[in-house]
Parts: sequence; structure tokens; C-alpha cells
Amino acid sequence: MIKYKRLFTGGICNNDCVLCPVTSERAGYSLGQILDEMGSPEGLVDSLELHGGEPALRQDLTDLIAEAKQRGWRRVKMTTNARAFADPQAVVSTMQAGVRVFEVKLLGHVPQLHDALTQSPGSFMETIQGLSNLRNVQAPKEVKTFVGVRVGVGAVNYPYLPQMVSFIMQVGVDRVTLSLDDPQAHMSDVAASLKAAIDTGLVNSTWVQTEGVPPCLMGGYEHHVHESFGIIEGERERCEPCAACAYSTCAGVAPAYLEANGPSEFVAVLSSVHAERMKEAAG
Amino acid sequence: MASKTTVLLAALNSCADPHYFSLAQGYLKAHAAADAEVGLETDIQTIDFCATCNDPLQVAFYISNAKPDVLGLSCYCWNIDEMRHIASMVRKTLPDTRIVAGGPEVTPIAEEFLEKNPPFDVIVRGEGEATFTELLRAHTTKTDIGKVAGVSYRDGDHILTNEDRPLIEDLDTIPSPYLTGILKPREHVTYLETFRGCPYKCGYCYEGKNYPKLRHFSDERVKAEIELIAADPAVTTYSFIDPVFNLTDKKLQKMCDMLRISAAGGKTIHTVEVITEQVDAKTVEKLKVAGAVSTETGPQTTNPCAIENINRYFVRDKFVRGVEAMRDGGLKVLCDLILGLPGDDFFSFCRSIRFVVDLRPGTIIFSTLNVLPGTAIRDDASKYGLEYDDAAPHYVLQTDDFSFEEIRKAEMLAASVAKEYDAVS
Repeated sequence: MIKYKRLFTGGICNNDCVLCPVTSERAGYSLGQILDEMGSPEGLVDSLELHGGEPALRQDLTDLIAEAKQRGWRRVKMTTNARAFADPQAVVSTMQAGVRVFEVKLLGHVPQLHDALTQSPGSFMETIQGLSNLRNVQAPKEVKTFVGVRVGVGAVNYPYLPQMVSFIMQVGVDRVTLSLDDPQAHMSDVAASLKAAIDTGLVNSTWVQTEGVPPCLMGGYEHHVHESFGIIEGERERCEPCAACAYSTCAGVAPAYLEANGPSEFVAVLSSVHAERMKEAAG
Repeated sequence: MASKTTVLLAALNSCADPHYFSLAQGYLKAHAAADAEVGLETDIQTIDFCATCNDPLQVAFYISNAKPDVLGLSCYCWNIDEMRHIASMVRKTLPDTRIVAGGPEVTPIAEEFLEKNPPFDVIVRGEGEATFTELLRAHTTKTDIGKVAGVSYRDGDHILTNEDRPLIEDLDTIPSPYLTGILKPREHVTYLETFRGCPYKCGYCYEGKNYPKLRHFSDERVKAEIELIAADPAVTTYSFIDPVFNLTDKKLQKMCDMLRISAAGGKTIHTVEVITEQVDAKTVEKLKVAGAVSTETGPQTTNPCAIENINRYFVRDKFVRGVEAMRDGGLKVLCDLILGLPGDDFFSFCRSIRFVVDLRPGTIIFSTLNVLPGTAIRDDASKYGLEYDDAAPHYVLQTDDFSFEEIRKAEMLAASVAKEYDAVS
């Protein structure tokens, strides 16, 4: 619901995730380059998202955040693997600097799964420790923070989504985002696991949202399709069956997915009370 | 010499830090104590508890130590369960104590409440000051309360309702609890009242108490209260319970002129409720001169169907301009959204969230619709397929357009959005 300007902070990372789109060619990103791209709040966007690579590894992170605040960015979010936050002091200093929204990337609920996908032995334990520290830091009353988890959903880990959400619930987070960005994972197979994972979150009174899967495949769970709130990350394309679909507000799916798998999974939904309401709400 | 009738007014306030004290109790005591007869014959004490931090057993223990002849309990949606529990214990431990309830949770359903809640003896309906004083007079003179207008009461196995009491025309006949020393101003939780009633009749709201007209305390009295607070070094911020602080431009100017002194002394006014459509740059300047630092406003919803159903005044472009004027003028704006209004559905609720997020107010306050006694929404519930929880605070369960499951999902989404929104650097 909150729009962020995404700011790349460099490709240096202590993980080597199988599905990461960031290559080592972008590793050396100077503070100057980042500040050039940072800009200032404009229009409705007054929030900044730092992503990488791993932003928490930057030695000049405090300077970067100070500059962001100086330029009037109201809210600074970090998308992170949280390994650096296994050190509680790093949590304190990062929050004091001004990052208050954290989205922790997780790929599995057990070390074997997560570490295999990050290709970084020991990363799971550090990520979980970091997540726990972010959650449990004793911040002053006036410092309000948000800690969410972003699960990169792919062909290897999608069957374990309910277990992953169940595991995340033990830490207690403010939101879970299940984001599909792997053309090898067929959406029609992933959808059932997404729904079960959503149910796990709901029973624990935690909002779970999905990205990358259109509402036609999320029957009964359309409310959780993040794109229906009007915030769409990355390119989307509607395919041939979409022309007849009641979900006229749907932006479609990633072009890379259609290129890899074709449109056969997508069947137009001819009528849906949710589709009508989404259309009315979109105005 | 006959001993005085002991009266205890026990409030169970909603939780805050620091804790609230009850203005209503202050008014009741001030009015009764000022009556020549009742003031002499009664000894009225007030006590404030917190509905969250103090449990009913603690409250009942205090009451049993006090052993009042008359116990007064102000009932609201945040404390009614506890008040029932307390009354039930007091009825058993102090069988001769007359238990009197008042407040918005019982006034509109007085007879029904007495039928379902045997420990209570009397309900003071509506505006309580004059009625409570007359009730005490009947008690001290041992006369029949059958002639006290404004009460419903238990008479053996029967429940009787007397005629309504006319509203107090001259509000100044209610002495100020602050000026009489009954209430001592306290940092942050001191609230003043300058008028009763509300010109707007939003279907979910009982702030205006369904009063048919507005009545004002005199300027002299309000000014005296402000000056008292201005002179109190322990209070740096306070506020007003008026449903609309910028009722008219003339009224706002008057308030601004009266509040200049306290503002000049560094005191601030926090979170006054405003009609944003009436706000422009000049309004913002006046609010700031008055010492206001934050305002609270709607839109509650942006769905035209829901707006009509709840009879809410909302003019989109004026609302946007008003929020921008306050925000850019340095006031913190608290925007309210209500979840579960009749006519809204999950996706139109999300649209309202996006509208408010894009306004970039200071904070967004989400609340699930409370279907309160005495409100139009409660009376018209069946029209919208609206089901609500009988247990206070009477949350909406479902409507024709917003299912039970969807409302619960929307609550989780709202909690997540609110938390992220407030996580500012």
C-alpha cells in the first residue's frame, strides 16, 4: 500500500542466491552513485527502499541514511538477508540511523533448504538470529519499527510454504510476502501451497500477501494478491486468455514466465464478485 | 445529627499513559455538590480506575471499603462488561447500596439493560447532571423516585421508566469541575468541553448523544478554565472533547483568542477533531495560534455508497485540500478509517486506504466499526444485513457486502499497514 522508490545500493552480498538477478558486475557501487540516484521525495512517493546485494554490508550505510533523511525521505526501508543483524549492535545502530522498516528475505524454514538456495552455509542461522534481533530490540517508545518477511518462492521451496509461514509465526512479524519470481515454478502448482500458507498466517492473525501470481489462480484468496492494491513491481504482461477475463484490473504476469511456460495455465474467469469489486475500487 | 448520604462515583476509563480521569464524574459531583440541599446532605467521592490495568475485584474491594449508600457507574463500550461484574459483586457484598448506572452504553437501552442486569437499581438516562442531583435528593429525603424525570428504575419485579428530562438549557448551571477544584488538571489527559451536541449526524457516532441542538458553555467559563490550565506548570498539553473544534470560523476565532494566553506560555493543544473540508491556510494559522499541534479527522471511508449509508459529510477535493493545508502548515494530521461500514467491501476499503496513504497524513488510525446503542447504524442494521457482536464494544461481524472472514482479513491488513505507515525515520 505504501509506495517506495527503490534504490540499489550495490551488488556486494554475503549470500549467493540461486535466483538472484543481481550479478557481480554491479558489485562496486559507490556512495556517490547511490546518492546520484537517490533523488528527493516527489509526488506521492516519500519512502525509500534500500536493496542490493546486501545494504547492511555497506560501511557507509549511516552516511547514506543520514543523507536520505536530509533530503526529506520520510520512511527508509531495507530489504535484507538480516545476517548482519545477528549482531544486536548492528540493529541498534541501523535503527538509530533511521531505518525503521525491514523486510527480511527468507528462502526456507530449515537450514538445509535455505542454505541450499542461498548457496551460503550458515546463512539460515544468521538470518533467523538477525530477524529475531530486529523483532526484539528494545527501542525507545517513540521509535516505531516494522519487520516483515519476504519469501522468494521458487520451484524448489514452494511445497514448503505453509511450514515456512508456520516457522515465521514463531518469531512474530508484521507481514509476510510470498513473492514468486521463478519461471521454473509453475503457478498452477504453486497456488495451492500459497493458499495453505496464507491460511497459516491468518490463523496466527498475520497478514500474508502474494506477488507474481494473478488472481485467476488465487480463487478465494484474491484479497491477498498484492498487485490488486495497485502496486506492481516489475513488468507484467497479459496473455491471450486474459482478454475475456473478469479481472480486468489484473496487470498480468512476468514476461519471462510467459516466455518459459506459455499461457496454457491461465483460464479466463468469466464472473467473480471480487473482480467486480476490484474494478469498482480501481475507479 | 443524621449522617450524610455517602455517594461514590467510580469510573473505569479506557487505558492511556498517563491514565485518564473522568470528566463526566467531575460534572456529576460539581452539579450535585452545588445544590443547596443535596450538597449539604451528601458526601460525594469520585475514584478513577483503568479498564485495562485494574481488575473488577480491585474495584469491588475499593467500593466495599467505601461502603457508599449510592454507587454511580458511568458505562461505556470499553467498560460495560467490567461494570456488570463489579455491580454483581457489590450487590452481594453491599446489598443496601443503591447502584446507579449512566452513560452511552446504557442510556439508549435503559429498560432492556435493567431487565438483563438485576444488580443495577437505576439508570440515569441521557445528560446526567440534573437527573443525578434529583435522584440524590429523592434518596436523601426518602421520597419516591417515581417523580424523578430521566430515570428508569427497578420497582420490585417491575421496571419503570419516567418521562425524559429536558436538556439543561444553560450549561453554566453545571459548575466547572476544574474551577471548583473537583478535578485537578493533569498532563496530557485534561480535556475541556465548550459545547454539547454535534451538527453532523454520522450514523455510527454517538458523540453528539442525539441531542437535537447545540448548547454552549459561556465564553467566560471556558476562558476561566483555560486560564486555570495556563497557570498550571504541571500541564504542558491538553485538549478538548468537542466533536468539531472548527465548528464555525467565528467559533474558531473565539477559541483562538482565548487560547492565545496558554499558547504563549508554551502550552499545546493535542488532537482536536476538525471538519477538514472547512480547513484552509487561514484555519491552520488560527489552529496554530491556539496552540494546536495535531488534528484528527476522517474520511472514515471514501466509498460513495458507504458515505451515503452512514450520512457522512465528505467532499473529496475539499478534504484533500484541507489535509494538505494542515500537513504542509506543520500540524500532525490523524486520519481515521472505519472498517466494516455498510456499503463498503474489502476492495473499496483498500481503496480508502490508498486514498489516505496518498494524502501522507501524520498517522492513520484504523478501527473496526462499533455498532453502538443509540446510533442510526444499530437501528438500521437489518437494512444492510449488518450483524454485530452483542458483547461490547459491539464490533461489526458482517454486512451484505463485507463478509465475516473478509472483515477479519481486512483487520489484519489494516494492522500491517498502520504499523508500516508509522515506522518513519
